[in-house]
Amino acid sequence: MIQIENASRWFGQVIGVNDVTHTIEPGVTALLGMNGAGKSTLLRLITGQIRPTTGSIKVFGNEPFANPEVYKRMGYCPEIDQFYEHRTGRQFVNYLARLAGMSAAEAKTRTDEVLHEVGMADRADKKLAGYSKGMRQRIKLAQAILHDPDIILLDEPLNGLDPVGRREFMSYLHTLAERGKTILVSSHILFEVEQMTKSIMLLHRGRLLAAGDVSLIREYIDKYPHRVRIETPQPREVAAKLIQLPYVLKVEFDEWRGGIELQTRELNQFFAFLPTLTTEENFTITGFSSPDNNLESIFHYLIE
Amino acid sequence: MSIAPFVFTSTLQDMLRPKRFAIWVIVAIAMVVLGQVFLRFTPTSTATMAYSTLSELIVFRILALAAAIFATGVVSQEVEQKTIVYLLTRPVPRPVLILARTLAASVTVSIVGILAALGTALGTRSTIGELFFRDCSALILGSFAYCALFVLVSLLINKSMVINLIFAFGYEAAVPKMPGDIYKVSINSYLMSIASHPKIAPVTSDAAPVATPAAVNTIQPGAAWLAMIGLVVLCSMFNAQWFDRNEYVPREDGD
Repeated sequence: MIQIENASRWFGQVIGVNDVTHTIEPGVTALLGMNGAGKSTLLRLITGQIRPTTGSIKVFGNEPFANPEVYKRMGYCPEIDQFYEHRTGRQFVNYLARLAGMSAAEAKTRTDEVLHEVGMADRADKKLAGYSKGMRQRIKLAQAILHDPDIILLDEPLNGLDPVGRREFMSYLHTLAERGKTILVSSHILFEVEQMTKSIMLLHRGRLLAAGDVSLIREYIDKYPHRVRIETPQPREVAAKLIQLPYVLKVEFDEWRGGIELQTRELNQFFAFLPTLTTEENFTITGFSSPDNNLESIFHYLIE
Repeated sequence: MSIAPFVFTSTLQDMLRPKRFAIWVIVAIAMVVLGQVFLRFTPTSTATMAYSTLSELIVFRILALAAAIFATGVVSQEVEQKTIVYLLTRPVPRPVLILARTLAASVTVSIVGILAALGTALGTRSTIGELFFRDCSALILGSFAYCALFVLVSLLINKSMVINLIFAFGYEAAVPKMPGDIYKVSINSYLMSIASHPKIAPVTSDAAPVATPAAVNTIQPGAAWLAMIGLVVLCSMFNAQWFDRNEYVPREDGD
């Protein structure tokens, strides 16, 4: 479907995508990376808005740059939040349906269908200027899928969606994948990506650091101890209990902010145990967090 | 079915939507008022002379101004507003996209020019006759020429509106009045040849001339038509090729 071979893209002295090689097959693939990693640049290369400086990108065996044959089978939801603000959501989607080559009657029918699918049927006649971020995301998704494309590229589609919207979106994504579509979704949030798919491409500073199953990343992460912060008014008692656990390596008091911070190699086992502190030992736990369970830490681990 | 008619009509509808076009209707109404004021303050002037003077000095400037504004909307404005991405990821050949949108801009600018000329004719009580229709043909051809040229500039230069406005008001106003043959590198000179306005008698003055007198426009109307059509065709071909081969991506802070 999408073949990327040694593709690099320079913007003057700055490199956006650096020697990326990968083949994207049907199903959901997540493009994971921090802001500035090159996700949007890679999506622009695949959507043929820009050309690679070196290497090649093929979509259905064709170069995508300014290629209408590719666009007939590709839907793209950009990250940008700009629209023709004077139009209504329905007018906007209908306009793009006509540009996709549909007749007026076809465009009207299909517009109604996709607006219903993305949950905007009842709000589509308001001007886009008055839409919330979540509504705008839904309209962008609608215009990406309206011509029933084989490849759907979604650039940070969950930004601005509320939890219900996110759940609906992910469910819809799986429906599309079951229909045999090739879906590439960019995100900078690992937790989101894990809920969407197991197949990932991990970009960092333009380079493809890892590609394949998301569990690969987890394995990398698990090579290193995880830090967990626990908020409690009884830090000494809780620390005394936790240090007895075989998978807890170290416990430190956070004198400045209160609470304790520990390191463990078995995060899942530790989180399974955590509720017993309150239910059986009667300790008060007011909060907990995992400071290194974020992308930045993951990239840090991977680079090391 | 070709997508070109839809691109043209949808762009035209957008350019003619009331909120965007109202200002040009107001300009046409202002020309009616200006025509009446002109007649009042120059009682010796005939209706034809008043119309010719205002048409040359103002209507053809309005044409260039409108062309600078609407031609910028063809590509440059879409890039700045970042909405270009929706157009460029649709199965519409880029040459079709730019030519159909330029055509829509040219038609819109023609309407602006003709409305301004009509306002001037009404204000000066000039007859809607041969002179007016010659003006209309010059205005239509001028709108195509200006739009093709301004779209070209917008494809080559970011923030092209400023350049186009300087060209419309500085270059196009000054060059036709310069001595020698340099007036021949101004679109306005060719449009004036096509419009063939009656010669306006210069104001007599006892003061000694301080500059070389402006050259007389010797461009024949037929040659002017050919030159303008040639300009439109060449610019349009270049625009289609250039737009098809180059990247038009909105700048973003990061990805």
